[in-house]
Amino acid sequence: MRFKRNQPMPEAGFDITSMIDVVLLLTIFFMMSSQFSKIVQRPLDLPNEQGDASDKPVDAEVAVVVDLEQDGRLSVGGRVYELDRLAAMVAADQQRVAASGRLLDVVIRADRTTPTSHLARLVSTFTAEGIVDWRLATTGERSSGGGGR
Amino acid sequence: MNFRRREVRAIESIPRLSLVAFIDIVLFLLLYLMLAGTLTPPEARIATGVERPSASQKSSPLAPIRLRVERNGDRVQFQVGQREVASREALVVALTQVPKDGGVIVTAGEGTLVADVATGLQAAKDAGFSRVSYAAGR
Repeated sequence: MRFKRNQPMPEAGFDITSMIDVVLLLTIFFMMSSQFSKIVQRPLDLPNEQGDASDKPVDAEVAVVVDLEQDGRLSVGGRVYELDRLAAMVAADQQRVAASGRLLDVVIRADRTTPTSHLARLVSTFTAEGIVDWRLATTGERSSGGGGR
Repeated sequence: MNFRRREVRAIESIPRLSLVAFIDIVLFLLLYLMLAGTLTPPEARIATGVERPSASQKSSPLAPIRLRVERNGDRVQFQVGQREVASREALVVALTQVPKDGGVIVTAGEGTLVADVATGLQAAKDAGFSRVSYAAGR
């Protein structure tokens, strides 16, 4: 038998140009649509309510988002705080923001199954520190039926 | 003049960019953003708080409406003034029929959940109240 002389085999390769195009497009899409500030928030089952018709988005520069869990645990940015320390911290933030002529946006993200007593305790302490305006986070979807759950 | 040789050299010397590391980074970013994006569903908010009248604004002479939320087992009961209602729809209707200038104060009884308070606040907003506040411990 006669074999051909050793010739270099042509390299097999994929044309990945279109894949890179698609991946880059997807990356840009997710970068534009993601909200990084929410990543550190606790996963909570918020109340199933539609929210305010004139609801403004949360401006991270002048907002404090407080997570209230079912057991009454409080956290900001994923970090757990004692109530008094949290209230003092938010009050200090309020003063700092007020100095620049703006209002601090306090958003309370409470689990829908949290007893109201925990929310009452938080709101009372906030009020004592002069924080009287806040917003309660909801899912944005209307629940069916008469009850709250 | 010999141009041909120079042309060939120029073509051979085109540097080839290695895209392997770039593709790794882009795929990692894509994975991260996809996971982070799907874990954060959109949220809405209900504004509540005490409205402080400005110098040009006069406070309303009307007293605020009291909305009491109570829970008995799985049943949620709402009380608007002396009127008791058991459903969200009935609550919105009841709140629509009262004067709105004084605003509404939502209070919650023992055993109630945050969801019940949220229902009360939302119903007040749906009924057209602009001043909605939640009073703790009353």
